[in-house]
Amino acid sequence: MARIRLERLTPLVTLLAFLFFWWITPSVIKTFTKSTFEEFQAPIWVITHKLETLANSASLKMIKKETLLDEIKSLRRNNSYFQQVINFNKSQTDEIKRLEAILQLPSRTQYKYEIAHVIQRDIGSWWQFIRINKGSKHGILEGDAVIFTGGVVGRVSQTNYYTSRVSLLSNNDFRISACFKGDDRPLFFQGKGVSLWGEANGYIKNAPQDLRTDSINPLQLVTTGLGGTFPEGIKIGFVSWLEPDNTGMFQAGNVNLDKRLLGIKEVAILIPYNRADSEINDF
Amino acid sequence: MLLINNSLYINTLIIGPAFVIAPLYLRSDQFFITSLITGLWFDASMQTPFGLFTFLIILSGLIVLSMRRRFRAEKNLHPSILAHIINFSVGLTIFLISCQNEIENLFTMIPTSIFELFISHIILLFLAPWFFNLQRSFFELLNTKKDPESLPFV
Repeated sequence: MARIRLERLTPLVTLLAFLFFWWITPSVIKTFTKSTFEEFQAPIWVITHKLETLANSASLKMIKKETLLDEIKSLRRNNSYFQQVINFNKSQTDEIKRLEAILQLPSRTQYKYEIAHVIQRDIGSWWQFIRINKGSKHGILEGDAVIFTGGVVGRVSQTNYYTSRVSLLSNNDFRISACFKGDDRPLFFQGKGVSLWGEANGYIKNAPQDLRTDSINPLQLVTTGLGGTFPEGIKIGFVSWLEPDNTGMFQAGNVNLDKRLLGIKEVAILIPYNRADSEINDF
Repeated sequence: MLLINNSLYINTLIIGPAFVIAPLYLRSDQFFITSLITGLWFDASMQTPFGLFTFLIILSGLIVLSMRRRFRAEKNLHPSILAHIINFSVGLTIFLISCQNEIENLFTMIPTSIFELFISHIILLFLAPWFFNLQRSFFELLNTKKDPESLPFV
């Protein structure tokens, strides 16, 4: 009978020992280890972002003076236009407040906008996440809504002290209640990943059967405000095709998300005012 | 995994070389500590269940470690082939884990995953030899190590 060489079993024993110790390790220690490593990594992402900003500003110095003067002119025009918009919005807000006071309506959830830069991207077929340079220090909590000029970006999936991870709208586990613009009936939206050509997609279920759409005039999908994370009416994407779903009672279809979503540089996190106040009091 | 902050972005998985260098060059105890720290470092930045990369790096490392006398670690060919095999295995594992709850999106994920893995291996073809040479030059620079712990049979 051949003798078994014990040293040959060493790798197997090591692996089993590791699995055993990993299994008996309390989840508190695992969470602490994960957070520690993440906090160690955070400065690397921030420094990378700073270097990128530095490189961009260096390249801006190469721009001709005439081009910059034209840019300033255009910005001045924009500034005066947006100043008028601000004044108009202010008068509208005052009017809303006055009417709410007369009707004694309960106060709505209002949000503080925390602007953040994207410092890391992890976008591919398996998952779509971005990391931003604001964290729990700035009052951001897990589940907070994230938006940009093109509509919904996603939801904060994890927060560290200085950074946060955002699950994008196209991520497979992103689900939200949505409705079509001008139609109050809620339906179900879920992310569908990124196509081979780098387009972010999603799909909807439970769309009412009477809705019709086409590629020339696609229906716009917006948030419903149900759930309280996202305010009502923020753009999600466009639906240009609807077909009966597997139940036959509703319609389903793909959602074309904003093309800028995967290349986004700056986002705004919606922090509810009430929660922000309580956190400020805590400090 | 290459994490680039740019919109011109392909999710490339280039992780194989980091899994190979420790089991080929270090003693088993040194390999274990190095792999544990490297695995936890990867785990912290990934969306996979915490501990998956630590497990994979130790598993693949132990397989390489048990057979390392068969490999010529001082040349680039064997480490590069190992890096490709490990990279592919890790990619496949991540794919299976990420798609287990997403059967509806499977047909979207398969072509993109294949494309991303293909690109990863093309990049790895050039990156792996450079990485191994860099590691060896570090060994020489720090005067800590010039040859693998146990030389292969010639």
